[in-house]
Amino acid sequence: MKSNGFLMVLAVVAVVVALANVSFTSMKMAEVNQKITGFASSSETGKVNITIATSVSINMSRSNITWGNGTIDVGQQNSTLYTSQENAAVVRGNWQTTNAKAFILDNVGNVNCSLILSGGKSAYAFIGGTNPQYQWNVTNKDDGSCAGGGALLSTWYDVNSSAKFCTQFGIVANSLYIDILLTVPNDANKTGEQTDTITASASTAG
Amino acid sequence: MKENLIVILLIVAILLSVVSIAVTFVSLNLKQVPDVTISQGKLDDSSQGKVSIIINTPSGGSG
Repeated sequence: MKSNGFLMVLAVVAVVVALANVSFTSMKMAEVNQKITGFASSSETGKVNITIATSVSINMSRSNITWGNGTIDVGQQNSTLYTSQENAAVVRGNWQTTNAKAFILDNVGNVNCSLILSGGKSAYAFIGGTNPQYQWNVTNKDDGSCAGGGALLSTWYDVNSSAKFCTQFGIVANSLYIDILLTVPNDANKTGEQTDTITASASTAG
Repeated sequence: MKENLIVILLIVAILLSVVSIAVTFVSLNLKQVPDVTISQGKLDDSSQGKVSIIINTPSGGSG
């Protein structure tokens, strides 16, 4: 009998706790539902706000200018080699132009960016000799791709460690040519294979 | 009589607990919580190109 009384109390407590549990769960789930996004039903609408992050990204889609093996024409002081967008020329020398076309640089991010070019070597370090030349020339591949910057488009400049060509490198018109010119003097002391790396650096526009 | 009441109360308690669990699962499963990955923006980038040339010594005289 005493045991029955204890069980009775226990049963009543169990029912009360269960009732409290149901009430608490229902109330809390109602609160949680207000905070969860992505709810969909035939009678309600939902709204999701997203912010697309700024992403600066550039890609040198044509990244090799290879002149190969060549010599200055006999009796000449020097030879000049240059790319011209989709073409190239060799003056007073016999290098090949097959694999020499301008670098192509694309803005593949989702925001305008600024562009700085830097070369790894000077003309003297790259070629050597008397009055060597190592220059670059940036032009729009897509009209209006590049605006602003201290260095002008369509102008030959000596390759250097930092030249700002664009403050607004666009994402719609988004492609540039970077032409390269080399003048190899006949007393160039950097014979054999010579290489240099051009680095294009982009950061947020401005 | 009292035993019957206890049994009923216990059954009611069990049923309420089952209902509570069901409410929780049904509520959570009805919501499609998107698995959102928020990536930080990238503020700079770089790309490189290579210029190469093989310079042979002129075989003839020079000017």
